[in-house]
Amino acid sequence: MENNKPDNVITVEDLSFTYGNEMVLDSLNLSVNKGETLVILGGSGAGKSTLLRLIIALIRPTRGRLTVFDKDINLLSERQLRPMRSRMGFVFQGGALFDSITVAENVGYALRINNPRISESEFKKTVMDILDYVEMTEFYSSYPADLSGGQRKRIAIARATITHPEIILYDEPTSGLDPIVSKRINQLINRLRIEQNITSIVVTHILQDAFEVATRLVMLKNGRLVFEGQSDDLLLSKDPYVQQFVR
Amino acid sequence: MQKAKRLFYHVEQFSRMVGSTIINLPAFIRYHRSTLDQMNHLGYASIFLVMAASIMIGMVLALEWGKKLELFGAKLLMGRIISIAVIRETGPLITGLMLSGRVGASIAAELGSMKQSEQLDAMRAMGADPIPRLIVPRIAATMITFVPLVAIADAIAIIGGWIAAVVWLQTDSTHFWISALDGLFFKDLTIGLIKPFFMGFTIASISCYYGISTYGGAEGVGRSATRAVMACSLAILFMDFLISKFILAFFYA
Ligand SMILES: Nc1ncnc2c1ncn2[C@@H]1O[C@H](COP(=O)(O)OP(=O)(O)OP(=O)(O)O)[C@@H](O)[C@H]1O
Ligand SMILES: [Mg+2]
Repeated sequence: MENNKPDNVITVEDLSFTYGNEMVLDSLNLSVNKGETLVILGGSGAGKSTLLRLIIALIRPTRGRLTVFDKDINLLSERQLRPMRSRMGFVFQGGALFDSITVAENVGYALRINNPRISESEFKKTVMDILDYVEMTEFYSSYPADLSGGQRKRIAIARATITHPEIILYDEPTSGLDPIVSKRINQLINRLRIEQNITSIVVTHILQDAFEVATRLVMLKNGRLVFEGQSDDLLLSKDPYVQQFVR
Repeated sequence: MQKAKRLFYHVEQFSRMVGSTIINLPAFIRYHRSTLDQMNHLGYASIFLVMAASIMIGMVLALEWGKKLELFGAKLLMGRIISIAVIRETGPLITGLMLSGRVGASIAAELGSMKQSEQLDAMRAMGADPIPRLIVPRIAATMITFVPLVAIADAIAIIGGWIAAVVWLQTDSTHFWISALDGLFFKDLTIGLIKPFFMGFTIASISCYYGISTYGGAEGVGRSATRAVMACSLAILFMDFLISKFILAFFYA
């Protein structure tokens, strides 16, 4: 906390995480500045989702420190984490939509948490606006079970971004989406950064999407960082794994 | 060693969940829509099963006891024996076992699939606590619904006993009812209604715990559901014994 620069919103220090005997993240160091979009690249099983889950404290690190909004989140209880989590958004890799409530209630879930007394008209308007952006307005009263994979993803993105939280974590937001919708999602990520200085971490496999949104990129391999830099650096990297990945 | 450690871990986690649920229990008022949904679901899911089981049990009790009582010339006691046995013991027990299967499996499977699809994590990630929103409504609904269900089960079982007594054992209908109601004391009703209250809590909290601690995909959901049913059934038998023993020891020689 003491040596944090003021614009650091997430600091990862010497972070390790193990599942049983499997070392998923190995002494990771990383910091994320306010207003940047950090893209995390890496192969399947590299530990990308695990890192995002650690940042929002759904799981606790085996070792190391994690500072979010200047607070050491290891020291916070589930209850103490709540106010901090409402300043963050999370797009789960599989959507994680609530099956038992409508698309609208899913999308507006955080609205009701942040303001339980929100008026129905305001709720509807805010939800409609974001649904319109992801081109899903006709599904306002549908249930998640009636959606395709890509549609679920769009709803998950709408749900995580509706309150314009200060930090948004996207776990493969564009996988399974067609190029046109992918572009819109990338535009949304960029728009939130430019207009509202929102900090994003985007996990993705898709290089083109990575380049469209990234202000900085890192690559994970077996729980370690093997690259950190800009898009151009990535293309010019001499690291054989990185070369293989971007080829 | 590993097993003991895991057991200890689960006992600790379960206790935490139960503690947090008790603290948050009033939240069922705030999430009353969810609670009512669950009550509705639970009532419909089990009432016919419970009624069918009860009428059979009542008739069997009457037939089995009828002959023995006749031997002692005590057929007039038939109503009393049936009403006491049903209200104090078989009503709550049978309902408890039925609900263990029906409700235990459905709660564990439902929460288990929410866990698997990361819905519980999504809730936490948005700063919402799954305990008051998901677990409290289920536990409250089970506790609330259990009491009238047992009352219905009791009534049906006694009616079953009456039918058997009148039709097959030539017992006088009026005598049956006088003896059935005359033998009832406040403490019988208390036992009969305390049991379902605790049993409801037991079934719902065990199956919620199996649900939220599910791991290992779709297979894991099935495993949680079957284990929940087994654990609930055992717990019901144990609770039944415990409450009877406790009440007999303290309030009744
Ligand atoms: N619940 C779990 N239990 C045990 N091991 C797990 C669990 N979740 C993840 N792992 C392991 O942790 C490692 C990293 O998983 P993670 O989901 O972080 O990978 P990822 O980089 O997101 O991969 P993908 O691109 O496929 O989503 C994997 O080797 C995986 O097997
Ligand atoms: Mg992943």
